[in-house]
Amino acid sequence: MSISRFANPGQFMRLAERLMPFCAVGVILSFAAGIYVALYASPPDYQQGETVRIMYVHVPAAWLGLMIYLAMAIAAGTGLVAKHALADIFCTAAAPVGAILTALCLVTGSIWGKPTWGAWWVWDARLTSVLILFLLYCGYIVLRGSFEDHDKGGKAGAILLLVGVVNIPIIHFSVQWWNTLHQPASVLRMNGPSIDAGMLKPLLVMALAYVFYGGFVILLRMKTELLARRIEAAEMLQD
Amino acid sequence: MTEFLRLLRFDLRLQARQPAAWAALVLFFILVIVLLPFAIGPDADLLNRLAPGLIWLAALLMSLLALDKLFIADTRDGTLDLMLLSPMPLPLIVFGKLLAQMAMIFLALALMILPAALLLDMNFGIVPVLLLSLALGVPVLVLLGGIAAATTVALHRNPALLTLLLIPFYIPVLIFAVGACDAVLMGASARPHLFLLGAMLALLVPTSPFVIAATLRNMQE
Repeated sequence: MSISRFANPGQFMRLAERLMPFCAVGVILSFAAGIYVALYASPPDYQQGETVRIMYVHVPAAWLGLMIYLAMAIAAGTGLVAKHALADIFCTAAAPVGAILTALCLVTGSIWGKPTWGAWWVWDARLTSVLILFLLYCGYIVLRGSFEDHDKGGKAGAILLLVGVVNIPIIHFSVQWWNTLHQPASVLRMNGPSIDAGMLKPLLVMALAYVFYGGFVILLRMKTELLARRIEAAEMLQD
Repeated sequence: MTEFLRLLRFDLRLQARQPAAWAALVLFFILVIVLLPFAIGPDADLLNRLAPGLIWLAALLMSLLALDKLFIADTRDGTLDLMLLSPMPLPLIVFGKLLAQMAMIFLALALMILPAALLLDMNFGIVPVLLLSLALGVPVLVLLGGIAAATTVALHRNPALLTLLLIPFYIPVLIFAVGACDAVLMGASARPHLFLLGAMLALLVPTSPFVIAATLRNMQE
């Protein structure tokens, strides 16, 4: 009994059927609770005031954006080694979701940055790494979309994901260094070691909502992709 | 080993027989350098301060231009199929090609680096570090670029794709290389930056040819 039996598309379909309603209910409940707590029932920050509420949308998007990339890289690695058909389907399905979340993270960060830092964009190390992550997503999506042959495209995409995941720490580290060299630590950052419990709770609820949402959309997209490929295969047989 | 040297000589000769392609690179590099002062203004202090970064930017764009064609000709005329069937290990063949590519870029840089430095009024104290950073960094660009070129070899209708794929990977190289030159300008040691560039090179030399070989095999089967 290993997890790999769900790599069988039929098994996966059954699992997805069972998980999706659960995710859907989870999204509705945790989003409702999260938005209520984040917008009304949590304290404003003593420095940032009400703008701190953007964080509840922003931070989970960043977390999930990075997590989805790592998950895609793991799937790509197992897909290359074990040749599971589902690995490529997961990557194709998850990439746009990750890209959108990363974009959401950038946009909300920008909206937060304007009143707080006085600029829409600052070449801060973290902002830059997230921007590069977004570019990695875009590269993967365009590359994967350029192939008509799923076998070749899947492998090419998997190689890109793996090379990219090796590079993520290098990018993160280099950008950190680059920023500290050019700019003294004048940029305000919210990396206080302890976040107030009144803010941590809505943040975690929102993170849960994002995870349910991501799970739901990715499962849905995987199902669609699987069906689309079955139709493609059937059409090929007819010709 | 003699086989490899013969192959390398063959690849170098191939590059030498296409002087037009090489001249295009040289021209591109110097045109970028000539245009930059118009974009940022002729202020000597500013140019002096930015010179290493601008030269590196031009070198990076030139490498992108060169890499775009790395495996295209070989795919079109069937050389790639012979490479795949050859008894010689494919990563070694690929490595020869990459070396020839690096040689071509280095030759273009060697010719144009002095005029570029003069045009940008560069501080000559940083020349050794700039050259060292190019010597370590350009092979990194080519080794990374080879992977992307192999990935996109079947899709030669999309030249922007290669750039999109490579930009995230080129940013750290640019940061370390320009960081080394800036460190010298500010009177600090360039060694940590150069060590990191060297580390990237040491990571890529043994891995990149294998990744490229696997990708080419996947694309051609």
